[in-house]
Amino acid sequence: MTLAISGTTGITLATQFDSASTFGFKNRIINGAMVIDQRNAGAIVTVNTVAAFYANDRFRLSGVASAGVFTGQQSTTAPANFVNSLKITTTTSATPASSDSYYIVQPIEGYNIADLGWGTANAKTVTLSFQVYSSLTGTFGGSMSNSAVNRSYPFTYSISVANTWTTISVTIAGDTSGTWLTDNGVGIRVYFGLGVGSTLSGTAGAWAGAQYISATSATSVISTSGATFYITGVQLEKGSTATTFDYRPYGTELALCQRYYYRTNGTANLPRLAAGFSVSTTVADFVFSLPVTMRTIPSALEQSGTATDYNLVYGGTNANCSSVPTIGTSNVGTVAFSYTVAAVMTLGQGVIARQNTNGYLGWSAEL
Amino acid sequence: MIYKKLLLAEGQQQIYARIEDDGKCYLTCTEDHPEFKEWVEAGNTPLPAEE
Repeated sequence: MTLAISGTTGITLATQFDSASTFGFKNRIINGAMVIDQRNAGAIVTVNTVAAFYANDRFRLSGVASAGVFTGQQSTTAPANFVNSLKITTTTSATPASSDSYYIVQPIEGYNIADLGWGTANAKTVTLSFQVYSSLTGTFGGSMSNSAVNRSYPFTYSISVANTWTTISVTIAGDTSGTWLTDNGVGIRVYFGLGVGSTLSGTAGAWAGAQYISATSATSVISTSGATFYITGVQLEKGSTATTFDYRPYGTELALCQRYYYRTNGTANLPRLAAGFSVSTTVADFVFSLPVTMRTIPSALEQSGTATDYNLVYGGTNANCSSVPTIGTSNVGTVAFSYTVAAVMTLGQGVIARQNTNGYLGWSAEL
Repeated sequence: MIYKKLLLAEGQQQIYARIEDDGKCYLTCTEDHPEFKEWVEAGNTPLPAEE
């Protein structure tokens, strides 16, 4: 490293410190070290259709209905200097049909890639790096694509030794064509293919005016029953060189995830979740301030599916809910929900919402 | 999986319960929920609310 001090140009740091990607928050991927799993706390998620499944936060898993099945799970199998990974296991094998796709994807919000200038003559080069470990060897594939799914860049990477962590780096010249959102919509989708049919696979190493999720002839994890695939240390940064992983503080990473998903978890002592008031003898409304302003207004409320996991304190006593909590009119910073109990309350009565160990409330604003 | 309207007080935003194959509801949503919109666009209609 060279430090040059000039009365004309000021202080200049040469070599690696001169890189635009050396300093904090260089990684555009959220939860790249796979440390956050708000939804499952390490439990297995089964992916058996085309839907939004999540194991580790921000990494969406998608499959095919009535075909191959795989699971996703936050794992403690990890390379040196990491503690977690995302583990994929094929439980029902299948050969992907031409339009089938099994994959991991992280959609990056447009605000977080706006400086890359994609879709303009000033598009910046990026480097995607990650570590993988698989029971399979071969040439694997992935891609990057835009929101409109009409621009994509398939890439390949090689795993030559089974069950050994391998560091991968892929450098991609920024796309000077197409539309790449720079708002709170999808900026860039980063895909890792687990088995992608021919229609959704393209030539590696070139931009295409089509939606490709992976590269042609890439290894299919879904095609081998019992196959495993682990990934962690996922980083997307500006520049043509992969630098060391941007290992952010846990609280920072959690807050970044909570812009897209937030969950309250109960405990055995029924912690108080929110204060509200009764709007009838059976229904109480609550407003809850989110710890992080969400990307957009959450339009769904997830819960455990069991009414008695939720409990209402009123008038010096309490009652379990008679139906599951329901979503109310919410905003990006505050969310509303309702509890329903038997006709025990008086109108306008102050109440407190609680949930037991199995109870949770989850709001999503995922891309 | 189906969606069903929930009975609400007059003037409240309509919300829907997603009923899974096991008969349980794990999610309620507004009509802005992307997965609900896809379900409706696929030609499905939510069940009416129970009085």
